[in-house]
Amino acid sequence: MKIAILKRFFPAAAVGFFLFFGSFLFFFIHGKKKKMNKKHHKPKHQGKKMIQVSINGEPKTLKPNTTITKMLQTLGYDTAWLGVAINTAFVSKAKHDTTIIKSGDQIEILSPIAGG
Amino acid sequence: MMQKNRHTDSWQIGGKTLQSRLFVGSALYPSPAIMQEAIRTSGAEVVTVSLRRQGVNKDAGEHFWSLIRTLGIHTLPNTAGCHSAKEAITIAEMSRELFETHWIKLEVIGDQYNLQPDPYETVEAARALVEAGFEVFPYTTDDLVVAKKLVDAGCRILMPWGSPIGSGKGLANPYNLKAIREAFPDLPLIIDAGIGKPSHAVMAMELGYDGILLNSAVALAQEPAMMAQAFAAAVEAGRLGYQAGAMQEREFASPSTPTIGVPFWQQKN
Repeated sequence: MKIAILKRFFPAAAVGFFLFFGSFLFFFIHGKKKKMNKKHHKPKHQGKKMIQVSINGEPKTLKPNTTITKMLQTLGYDTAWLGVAINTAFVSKAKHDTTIIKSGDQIEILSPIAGG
Repeated sequence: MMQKNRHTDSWQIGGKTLQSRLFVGSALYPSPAIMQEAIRTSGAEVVTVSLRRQGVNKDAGEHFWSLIRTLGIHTLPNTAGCHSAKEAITIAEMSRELFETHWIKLEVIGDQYNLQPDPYETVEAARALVEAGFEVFPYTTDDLVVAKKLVDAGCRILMPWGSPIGSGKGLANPYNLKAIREAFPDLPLIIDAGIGKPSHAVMAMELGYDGILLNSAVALAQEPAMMAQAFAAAVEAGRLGYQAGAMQEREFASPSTPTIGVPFWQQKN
């Protein structure tokens, strides 16, 4: 009797078995592939990982060891009539060539405007 | 000719000698050309400017600044938009380098609704800026005690408001403004903010204030250049009136025409 029932439901049980464990196997392989892809791309940025900063409230990425002068050039700004503050502290023009921007810096770039 | 000399009397403020007692802002004009025309017509020798985040238009700041420089007058940068002493100090330092002046209109806002200055932050920033070599023009209320604290912090100029910025309400509290004038007879005092009409400027000058700083009153007038001319005249009129010394106010009428020899008059009884 018991054997008869088993025999009768075997196809359904087999399908269930494959679906259940098969899905595990699929995600396992897929995950490994993803990891391998990441590993494969990593060496390209090694040694010069981009840094995350905020410029005038907008998130931006910069190359490591970027000076203020370099950053202004990259942004296409004429340096003559701009003022720069990093983390709310003013950085004079004399220090633009030597000040290196660090990851997480909050940068403000200001220019003249009408005022009352 | 003597009268002419009296109202074109030169005066000193922040280490500079000026002829005009009117300071004007550079904001809110219908166009840059109208701004230039209005500022020129006002005869002002001091114009206020500001700093803001560099926008999408990369040349806007430089273009504006070159327009201002063609006016050939003194620049008074402000710290508008700052809400703390720290922010104001940073903006002041940046302005000193960019605008090449040690003058700073110190403005630290404490309330968004009426743009009332924060006295605590203003005094703190004023002390630090005076120490750093700035000539501080502090925007303050008409509170006498705050005015005293600013002077204690080293300010050599005070700029009490007439009424809130851009309101055009004139002098909300002439009594307080008079008290500040009396407390500091030798300090240059400028009414900054709240002026809407030429008559307001006349009143402020009649109180003995040394100058007027305004922006909206001219920029938002139907004819900004014409209004600038009106304010130039008003400031001059008020100054002359103050120097001339007004008569004593009286409770009763008093005939101005001589009473001797009045015709048709007959002695009765």
